[in-house]
Amino acid sequence: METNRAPARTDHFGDDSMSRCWLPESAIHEMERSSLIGQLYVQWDGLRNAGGATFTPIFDWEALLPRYQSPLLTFYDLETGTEPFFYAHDHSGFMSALKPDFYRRCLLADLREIAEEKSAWYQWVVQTISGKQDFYRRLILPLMDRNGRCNHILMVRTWSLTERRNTVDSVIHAGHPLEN
Amino acid sequence: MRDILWRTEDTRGGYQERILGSLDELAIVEPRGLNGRPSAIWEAFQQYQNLPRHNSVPLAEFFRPELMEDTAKADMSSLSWIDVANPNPENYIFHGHRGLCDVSVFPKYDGIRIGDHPLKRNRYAMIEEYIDCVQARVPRYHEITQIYDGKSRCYRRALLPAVNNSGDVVKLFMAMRVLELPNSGTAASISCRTDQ
Repeated sequence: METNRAPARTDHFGDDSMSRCWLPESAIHEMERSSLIGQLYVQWDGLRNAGGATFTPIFDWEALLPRYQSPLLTFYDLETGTEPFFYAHDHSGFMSALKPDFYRRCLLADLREIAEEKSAWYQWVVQTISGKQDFYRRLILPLMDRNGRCNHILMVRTWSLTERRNTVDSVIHAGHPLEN
Repeated sequence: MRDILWRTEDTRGGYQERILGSLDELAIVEPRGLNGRPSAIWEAFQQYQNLPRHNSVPLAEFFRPELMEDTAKADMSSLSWIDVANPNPENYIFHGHRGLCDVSVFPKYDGIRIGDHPLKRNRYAMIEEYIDCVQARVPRYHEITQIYDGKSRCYRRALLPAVNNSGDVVKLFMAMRVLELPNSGTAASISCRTDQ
């Protein structure tokens, strides 16, 4: 029984690798009801269903960023010139400032493709970068201007395994109960 | 050292806790896991440790789960494997998964792709544990406690990653042992044996 096999794409550079493994969009409703991914997808999907397009002005990403204040949430502005500018609640900058290089190259290629494709990407990302293995889920949503051109992209992801373990360790050491 | 990977409760009384134990814990608990005798998890782990290797990871082709069948029957264990050759974890496939004890509590998933796993509440937790094992290329030992729809279960599980001749992890052998199988109850009523 190997129906509906989900696609994956893997980039390699030396010992580094990054696999983007597609999940069906329907799984967001099933699996992400209480997560930030689920909340943002519901907003984006609501606009898409209502108007047939997810206009940047209506989605109002500039209001969302301070509201969520999450290190897991990033917006990419594709209108700033030759390279995307990213916005996060703790820092912002041009993509050229993102490290490591391999991660930036993979992300740039993904953003370009999403801007053309104009569809949501919901994925497992399984990566080994500089010898460090990790994985997480991410949702990438294109936002369009009134001419139907993708001018912003929203990316939200889960904590990676490493980040979550570090968070759990710090919570335990601080003597606080674990969040469910 | 034990690492709580996942703990969730829902408003309908559902509860789940998934704990990563150490291999030291496995080596202490499982040799006496079957009423003072070695459990199928321990027998599987020992066979696994002695397999021919490729870059220090055991080769999948040499693992013989049928050698633990008698022990597995005696201690209500399950021996199966997961095909993890596909890079997308959604496409990992259960093999030889026949269910355990009461199949309404431990159903069989033989031939099921994880992306089609019917228990949505467990799917991402399972996938994360499998990816972790594939990436780490070392065994993992978990204790899992769940209550869903008034049915509860508690079990220990060893995941044993194995490679092909190219060194890619292509199979996770899975040995699973039931600790408690109460009829129903709440989180407070589950009392898992931590020392067999």
